[in-house]
Amino acid sequence: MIITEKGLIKINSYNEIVNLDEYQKFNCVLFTKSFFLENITKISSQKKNGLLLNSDDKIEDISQHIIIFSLINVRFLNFKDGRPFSIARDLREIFSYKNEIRASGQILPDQLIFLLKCGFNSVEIDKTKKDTWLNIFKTDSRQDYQR
Amino acid sequence: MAKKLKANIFVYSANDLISGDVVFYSEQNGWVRDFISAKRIMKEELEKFQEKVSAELKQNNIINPYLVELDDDGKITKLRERIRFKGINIKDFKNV
Amino acid sequence: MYRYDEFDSKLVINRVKQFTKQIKRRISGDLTEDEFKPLRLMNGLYLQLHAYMLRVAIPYGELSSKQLKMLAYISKKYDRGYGHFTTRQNIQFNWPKLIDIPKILRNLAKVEMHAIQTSGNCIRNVTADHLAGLLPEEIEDPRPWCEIIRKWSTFHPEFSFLPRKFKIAVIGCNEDRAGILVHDIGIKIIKRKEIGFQIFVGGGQGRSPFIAKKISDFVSKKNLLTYLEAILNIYNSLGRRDNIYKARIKILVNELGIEHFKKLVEDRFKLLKQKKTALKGIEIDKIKNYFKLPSLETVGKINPEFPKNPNFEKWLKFNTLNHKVKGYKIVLVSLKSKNYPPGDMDYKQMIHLAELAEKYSFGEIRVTHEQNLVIPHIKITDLFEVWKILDSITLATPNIGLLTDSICCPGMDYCALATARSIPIAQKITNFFEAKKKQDEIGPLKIKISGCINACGHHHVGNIGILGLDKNGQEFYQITLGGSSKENASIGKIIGSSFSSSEIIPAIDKILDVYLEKRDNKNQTFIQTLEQIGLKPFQEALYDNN
Repeated sequence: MIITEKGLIKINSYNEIVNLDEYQKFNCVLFTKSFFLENITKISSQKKNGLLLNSDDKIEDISQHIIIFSLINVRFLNFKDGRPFSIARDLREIFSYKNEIRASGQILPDQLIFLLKCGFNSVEIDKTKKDTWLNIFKTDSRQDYQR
Repeated sequence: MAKKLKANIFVYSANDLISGDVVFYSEQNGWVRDFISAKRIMKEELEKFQEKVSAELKQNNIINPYLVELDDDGKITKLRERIRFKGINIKDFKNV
Repeated sequence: MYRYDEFDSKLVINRVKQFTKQIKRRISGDLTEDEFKPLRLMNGLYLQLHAYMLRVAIPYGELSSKQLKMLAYISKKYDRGYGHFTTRQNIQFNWPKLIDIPKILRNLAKVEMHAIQTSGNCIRNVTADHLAGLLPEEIEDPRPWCEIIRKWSTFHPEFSFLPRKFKIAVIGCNEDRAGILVHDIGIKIIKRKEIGFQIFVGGGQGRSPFIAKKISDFVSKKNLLTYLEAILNIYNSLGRRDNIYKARIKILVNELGIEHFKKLVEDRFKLLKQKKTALKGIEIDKIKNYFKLPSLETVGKINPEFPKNPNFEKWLKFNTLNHKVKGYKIVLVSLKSKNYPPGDMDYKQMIHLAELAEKYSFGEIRVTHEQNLVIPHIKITDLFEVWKILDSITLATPNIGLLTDSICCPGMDYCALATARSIPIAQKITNFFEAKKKQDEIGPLKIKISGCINACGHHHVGNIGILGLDKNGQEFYQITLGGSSKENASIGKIIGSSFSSSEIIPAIDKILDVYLEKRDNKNQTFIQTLEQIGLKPFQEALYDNN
């Protein structure tokens, strides 16, 4: 389940895959950076390709390929580890990535506004906490000093 | 508890979630402010009480529970814990 | 003084509402303590040895009479009647209840104050020279720049979950009164063809102290925030997260080397410069307007006849400085009097001082990084009257810059991390040396006392540093000599094995005797003497068996 930047709750349509057979099977796939680098010639631009990054993944070495991804999903190892905020910002501001960026992993609802401001479009959430997320989406202030 | 525990007798201490006050674990009344009622836990019973305290952490509205070491006469051994138990011992401004 | 506009007020109020809800969720069990902790820390709320502690920001040390009165009200109503001023221009309340925090924060918001980012792994309260805007030799007032940085760093979406806390300080004079070289980023305003900034990075104290290294010799005004953003971006991406003791930027800078770190920052800076809008002159001017001096009238009589009073004369000598406007003095208020813990102030003193500042100093007060206060604009002809009032509320101790004016952390009397007490040591020093009248003979000297290796009492940069340790359950104190947080910043050297709490005062006394004996003349400072004669004479005096 995901919450979008418009405050909508949706079902995640990406299938997390680990090998090429699975890659062929689905049309909407999510794979790690190492899978991507190993199978870079076999990635089809006909599919919806989602890249799964961890907090500690670097993006410089794949920056020339990012146009192929319809989604970049950055997984928080821990909500206190703020590297994904910089990853999203770099994707937008340095690498001009225009498609969806999603956050997943261990995240607090209280981080939602910061996520959206750094360029994330959606967050994968725990079903049982849906109401908290929606409430925070509606009530937390978006006011800030940064441009 | 990462620190090595040396004593034979312990009490459990924590802070009250809402007031922040120092509290102690008593067997009858749960977490209380009064050190005298604190349950003296023998070394052999530690595991049992550690499990109990962490299991009840959520409903008990306390934070930061940890074990305070006592000597065989039941006195607190560490200066830090004595200061914490007594409250502030430098000039208090209450009566300024 | 800076005044909130509607935008600032709304922002703070929204934060109070948000944190109030988070407290409710914590109490209801919706948030665990582990989840709540970083949220409460970002709102300045700690759990200390006895209770919660709330740290309130006094951005760049500026405080109005109205604000000080509110601090007095809060300490009376929600605490135990006093507050503690810290080395980073904050005030701490030691006994608030979680349930009262929303009320305290709403009251603070009424006077444009808050506890935002006074803790947690984010950019903390930006500090400045407490004499900003008051001295003739100043290149430019650092406070508008602090305000610009404050705005930029408040709720920064990218930099609110850094590897560790991040502290920035700004100065506008050559003399450093803010300790910029022991900050994560130190900023010094300099004049080349135009006015801009020298940037230092990677300073800090704690268990591995470092003096900051220069990363840029000149950053222009319009690029300041972009440059800071580049540093923070590199730190957030590369700073260590595997070990809390190695997570500060000083470790990253030291592990990479300043040249490598600088290259990463400069590359990032070039990229960001193309994408970000630079600061506009009109925005800078708008902020600067808030920091104009109040309209000080020129006073006819500059050397008035004061009543003969030796205590007043001593106070005049040590606790006042020349103001850049003729006819005015800057008054330093010592929070290091005999019976008070260093930096502590009770609510009655707060009220009286607030009234004094209202009457004599345009309602302006400053907080210093050495845990004292400043009343910035006192007419020379009012000095005697001001002294009488300060003296009547125990705020005229004539010891600014002297050895009893020590920086001291709360230590094990309050702090959950401390390994020994520090306040009783400060009080012993005060009692001992005031009785001996030795401090006047010694002159300026900085003693700094920390109750643990985290070094909140700045012992590393004390001319004489005292560090409290736990040795098998006993309090022991290690002495370092030669530290400084000024322009010539240096980390003190450990003199030898540590002293018990009964040995520490005689040991300090012996060190001072060596200094008095060996210095060439009265003007040779402790550091200069130490440089000249080395540690050995001090060690010989302390450890006769060696």
